[in-house]
Amino acid sequence: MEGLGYAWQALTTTPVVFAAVGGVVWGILGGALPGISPSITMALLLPFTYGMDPIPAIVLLASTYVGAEYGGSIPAILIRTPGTNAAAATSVDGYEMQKQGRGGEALGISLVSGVTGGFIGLSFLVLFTEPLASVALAFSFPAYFSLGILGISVIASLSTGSLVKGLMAGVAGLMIATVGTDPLSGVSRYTFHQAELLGGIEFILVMVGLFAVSELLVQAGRPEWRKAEHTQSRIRLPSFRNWRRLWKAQGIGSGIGIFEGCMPGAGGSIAAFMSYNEARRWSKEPEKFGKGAPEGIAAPECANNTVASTALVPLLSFGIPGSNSTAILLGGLLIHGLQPGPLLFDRNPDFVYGLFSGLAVANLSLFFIGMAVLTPAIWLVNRPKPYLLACIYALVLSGIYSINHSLFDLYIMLGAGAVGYFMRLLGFPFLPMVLGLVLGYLIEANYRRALQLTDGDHIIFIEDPISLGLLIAAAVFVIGSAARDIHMAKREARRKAEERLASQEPGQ
Amino acid sequence: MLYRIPRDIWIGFATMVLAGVYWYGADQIPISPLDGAVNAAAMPKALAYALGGLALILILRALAIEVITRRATADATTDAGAPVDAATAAPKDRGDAVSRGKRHLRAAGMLGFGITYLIAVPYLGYMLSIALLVFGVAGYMQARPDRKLLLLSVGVAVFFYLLFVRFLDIPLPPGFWPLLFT
Repeated sequence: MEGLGYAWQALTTTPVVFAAVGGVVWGILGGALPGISPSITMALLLPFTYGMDPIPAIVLLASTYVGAEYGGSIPAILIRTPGTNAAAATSVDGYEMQKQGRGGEALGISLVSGVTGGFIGLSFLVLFTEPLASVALAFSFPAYFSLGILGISVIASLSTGSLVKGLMAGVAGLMIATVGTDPLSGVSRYTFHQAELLGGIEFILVMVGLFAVSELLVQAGRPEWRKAEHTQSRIRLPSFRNWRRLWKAQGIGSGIGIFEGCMPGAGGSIAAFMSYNEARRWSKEPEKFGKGAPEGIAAPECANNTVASTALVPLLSFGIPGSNSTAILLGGLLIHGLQPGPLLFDRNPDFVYGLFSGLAVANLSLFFIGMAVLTPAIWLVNRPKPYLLACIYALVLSGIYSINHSLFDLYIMLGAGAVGYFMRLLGFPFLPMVLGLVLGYLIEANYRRALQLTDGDHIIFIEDPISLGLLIAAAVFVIGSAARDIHMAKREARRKAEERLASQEPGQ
Repeated sequence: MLYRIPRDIWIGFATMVLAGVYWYGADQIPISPLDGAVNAAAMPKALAYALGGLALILILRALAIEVITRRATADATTDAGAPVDAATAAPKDRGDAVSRGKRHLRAAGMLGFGITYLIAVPYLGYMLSIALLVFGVAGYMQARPDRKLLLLSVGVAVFFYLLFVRFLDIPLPPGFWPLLFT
């Protein structure tokens, strides 16, 4: 009941409703643009949240995530170009339906399933986050250090590409976090006599550089994107009879979305593809999948919108973001001095329940905005790519400047963009680096505080049972992933051998 | 026979150098009397060792892949009776490399626009610089430099000026413009 009171207070005394609606609109438009992922859409908004109150600021970001997950399905269905990675599964049957002249129906199924998934995910978030967070109340300095190590290990292990590169990116993130004045002794580190570096490198600069600027650099070398036809700009919501047919697929999507959302590193894309496969496996007419089956849209769309809520469970409970989008959200929380974890529920219950109420408004408004904003979204997708990229570049440069009124920040952001470009090129994942940067202080401060207690003896990390458990879990993830990595390396070797042989065939 | 050194080996060596430079930086961190059992350089040094170790693993991994690849290629070509010659793949690779090179150059150009903007904005002021940035980047992305693009550039500059300077009260660099009116 107390929670309801906080939720009502947030809805009536702060501009939460405006933030939720604005975030959903921005998210749908951003998600609809191919190449602009939910995390980039959120990162573009991050500088504007600095001057806002914490509750509307985080609701704005979280609602953008909700909107972007649906927005990605619009170009996936209309032009077979997923606006987000998670929408790739939707494009399989969605585009088939569009070719059959059922594009409006496909968009309607996507919208209804997205809203359904959003509410199921939100229910899970509200019910289970606080009990999980209370587990973390027993954590001591060594346990917090080990939690940070576990977070980076899990994300590095589950990131795409090689485990070694994931871990290297995580270590690089921790290294960036050491720049600036050491908070425990006041000594400056890696500042190169630059006053601007004394406060450290703000993670927002690195995040926007890695996600948004590097994407601009990649897009600079890519051709024009395809255009959507204006004829398919009307949504047709499924009838109640057809909706009943989708319940099983939506149930599968939600179940997988709940599980994957709570697993750090999994994210909406895996949930969408897994639920598509499971929906086909459990369907009475699996042969219709890939040929325009409505269930082939309902399951992945329900899954990725469920993930948009359940991905907040590990973030709010333990302070560990499981995806790029929740890493941006963590950045937003830290900007406003909110440290996610068990104490968040004790110290800032108004914020937690305000966020929940904002997410409820966002999911509800998604239904109405999703219908209203379709035409502008198609209009936006059809704008010439050069115009859009130029405007995004201008927005990024202006938005980041507005945080500290510093041109130095912009140089750091562009530098992070260049680093991000090379990371993409060389197969390094971003998320471990972002996580290393965000968790750097937590890891180092608790490492040093723990060692103060034992006068430098590392045994404390093993003597503390929670710390030991977390370190064992980290080791299990790394070892498991190493085994996968060896398998991947063998496969890569076989592929290379085949390529070399193919290039030596006679006649070439 | 021509052999190329795998990319991950280069990455590994470059990362080792980076780890060495970072370790050197950690070694220069002064020891504070406020430091307890662990000083401010401890974590950076540990990170340098970790990065160096991971770089070594990456190199070993790349070498292992290369050895397995060569064995598999040699076995298959021996079976087929053809000699192993990686150089035959060169023309296709060269074409790919040119296309990759062009993409990287275009990315560098895009970054160049941002750096040019940062150099110009203190002198030209925010509105003019952002208008030139939008015009330049769109033109670079092969938009026709016509009246429409000019209008878009000016429109974006005016909109962002109103949003940031007037609405959000952000003091964006005014450039030389105030001097003209004093």
